[in-house]
Amino acid sequence: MKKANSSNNKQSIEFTDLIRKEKEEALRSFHKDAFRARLRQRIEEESKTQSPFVFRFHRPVIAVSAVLVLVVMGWIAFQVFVPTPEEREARMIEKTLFRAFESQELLTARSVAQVEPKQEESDIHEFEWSLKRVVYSAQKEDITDNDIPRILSQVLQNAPQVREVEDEKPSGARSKNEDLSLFQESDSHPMRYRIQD
Amino acid sequence: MIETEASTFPLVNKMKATEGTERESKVLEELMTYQEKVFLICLGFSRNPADAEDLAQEVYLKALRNIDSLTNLSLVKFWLYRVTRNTCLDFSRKRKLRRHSSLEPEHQQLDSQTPESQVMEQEQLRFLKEAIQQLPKKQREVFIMKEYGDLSYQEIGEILKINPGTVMSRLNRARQTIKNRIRRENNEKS
Repeated sequence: MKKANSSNNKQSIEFTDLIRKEKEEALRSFHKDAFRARLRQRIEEESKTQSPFVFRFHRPVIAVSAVLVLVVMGWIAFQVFVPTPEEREARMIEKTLFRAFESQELLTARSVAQVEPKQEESDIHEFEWSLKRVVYSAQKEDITDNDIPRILSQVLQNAPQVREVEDEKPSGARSKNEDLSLFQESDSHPMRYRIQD
Repeated sequence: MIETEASTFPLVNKMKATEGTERESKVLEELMTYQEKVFLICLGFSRNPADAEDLAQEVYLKALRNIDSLTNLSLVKFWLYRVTRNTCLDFSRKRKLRRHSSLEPEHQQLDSQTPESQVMEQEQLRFLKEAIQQLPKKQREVFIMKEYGDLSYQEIGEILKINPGTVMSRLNRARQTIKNRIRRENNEKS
């Protein structure tokens, strides 16, 4: 134990002695005046390359103010270019309305385009039915061969009338009775009653 | 004594212009009275006296640049030692990085003409320096301030803002670690 302690102390003395010698040697080579002269020279050199007074001593202040200015500018830009919730809502309403009007126009255009051929179709349909009625009557009733051309000619004559009436009513919603009344008005043949039945 | 003419010391002039002339000159003079201690502390952190002097120059330049942060003039000594400690730790960190990134030789080559006893001593000193550099940061700074700067426990505690008791325990651990290294080295040699 004692041996270990003594070796420890010896090592401690050794290294403190080494440090002491190192310090003494270093201090011998350290000249205060030379140190000061060198320091003065370095300060002079530094002052020549230094930035202006304001930048030299107030660097943190300048940095902080620059950051603040940037933050404020960013906030202003955000306020100017990014819409408020109200503006956003107004824009959305505008867009929706625009779409609604656009689709309305589109629908109107489509409905016009769809209704027009229907009128023509219904005209043809009515005319076809008139012909069919004539043919049916000719088969079922006692109609002489002489009467058939006359009835047909009357049907053919009525065809443009039907179209005119259809043109006047663009909806094209005309009842069957109306068609028949046209038929009846221009025709005095007994078959009209049977057809109505 | 450092000259304080306007043309030669702009940093000092700034000090003089902002606060009382005489007082600031005194501060500057007081700073300069610790140059030996600063140099010795720097020696503890560096490899040789030349490096230590460069480091001490850096310490003074840094102190003059940041003189505004010195609020209480009665604590100028502790403030300067704190600047010294921070500058030396920065230096050690940079040197460590440099050593890792390059293959630069860590120590000066010994002259072949040097007597054998001196060679042995220089070798021992080199080993001691290595052992100091390998100490943990907290132990290293306390050890250097005590052994190289000859500062009291109280002063070291004031600089590092720790209790003198903590200073003692750190110093004790640092000494023990160095002794163990020396013993291990001696055993390997024998």
